[in-house]
Amino acid sequence: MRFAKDDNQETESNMAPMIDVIFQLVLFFVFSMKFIAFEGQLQAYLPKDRGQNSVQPILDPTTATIFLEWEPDGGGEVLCRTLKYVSPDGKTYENFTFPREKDENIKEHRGPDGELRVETAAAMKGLNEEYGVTYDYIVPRFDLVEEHLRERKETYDHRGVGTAGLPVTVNFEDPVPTQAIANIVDICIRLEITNIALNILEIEP
Amino acid sequence: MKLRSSGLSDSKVENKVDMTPLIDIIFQLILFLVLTSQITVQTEDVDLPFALEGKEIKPGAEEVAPLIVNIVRFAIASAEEGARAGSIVFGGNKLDKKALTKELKKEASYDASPTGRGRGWEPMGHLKLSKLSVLVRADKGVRAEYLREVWQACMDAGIYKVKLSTVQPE
Repeated sequence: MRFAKDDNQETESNMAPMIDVIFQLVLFFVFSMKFIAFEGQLQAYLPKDRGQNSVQPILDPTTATIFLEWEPDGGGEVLCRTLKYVSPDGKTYENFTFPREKDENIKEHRGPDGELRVETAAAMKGLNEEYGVTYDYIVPRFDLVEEHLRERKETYDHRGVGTAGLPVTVNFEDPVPTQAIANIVDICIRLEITNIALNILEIEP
Repeated sequence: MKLRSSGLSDSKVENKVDMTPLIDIIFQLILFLVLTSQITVQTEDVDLPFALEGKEIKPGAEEVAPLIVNIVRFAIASAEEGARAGSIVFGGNKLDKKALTKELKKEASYDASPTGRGRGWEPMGHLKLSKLSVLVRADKGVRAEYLREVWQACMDAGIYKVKLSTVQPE
């Protein structure tokens, strides 16, 4: 009988501190999840060989150079263009400005494989309403930018120098919304272009 | 005396408060506040741009967590700041480009120096590049001017690995 009593006393452990601790831990994880879980990250690189004591970059006609510009006329438009470039078969393409559309006209564009292509363009929809801007926001056709870069990537010849794919340089003007830059980086990652450089020096006039 | 002593013994029983749960809770609260403050200081409430290819990166997947630079948008921008103005927030402080460069340089040299994290530099010609990466959490509508300033600061600090924080479109 005495032994039984002792056993009873030992099993009576106080659960309150443990519950406290577990509750606090759960609370902590719930809070920290909220900050981290829903965010994606786009990897990109700044030009390695520039910076610090840098010199003005020389534009190589075989690399893809994307310019994002801001047209203040009509309230503000994002303009996307590429530079004149020379394809491997020697053809020269002139500077090209991608067509633009009012964001209300942008619908889902699907690629040949039926995959959705331009939610990125559509993502710019509604920016104006959200920020109380009254003009019609006009955005470039990012689906065409994607098609262009896909073609350039497929025809790119690295001429035996390294194994890296098509280098893409993204230049942008100051007033362009951040979303437009995210779109270009997003397209490059989707096309598995790993050689993206964000050119933050003076824009070519 | 007898009455008193009996009274004393009674109050003694009442006074025996178990302090353990209280200490547990306080300890947990301190731990919780310390850990969350680190997170909340680094990430501001930012309306991130949309992207399809943004990959979730689990904390701890990288050897060293990226430095987080936020670009927040002013709710109401004054005329002199212009349309869609914002500010750069690093470590809970609003910084300009010069101050951010200084901070990033400090972080990069801490990461590389043997007295700090001791990971060294990546040699690149005559330049030394940091092994650190910077995660930019920029508002989607803010002018890219701030992004340029952050990236220029990164370049000046020898950091070439940059990331953009994004969200999936609904």
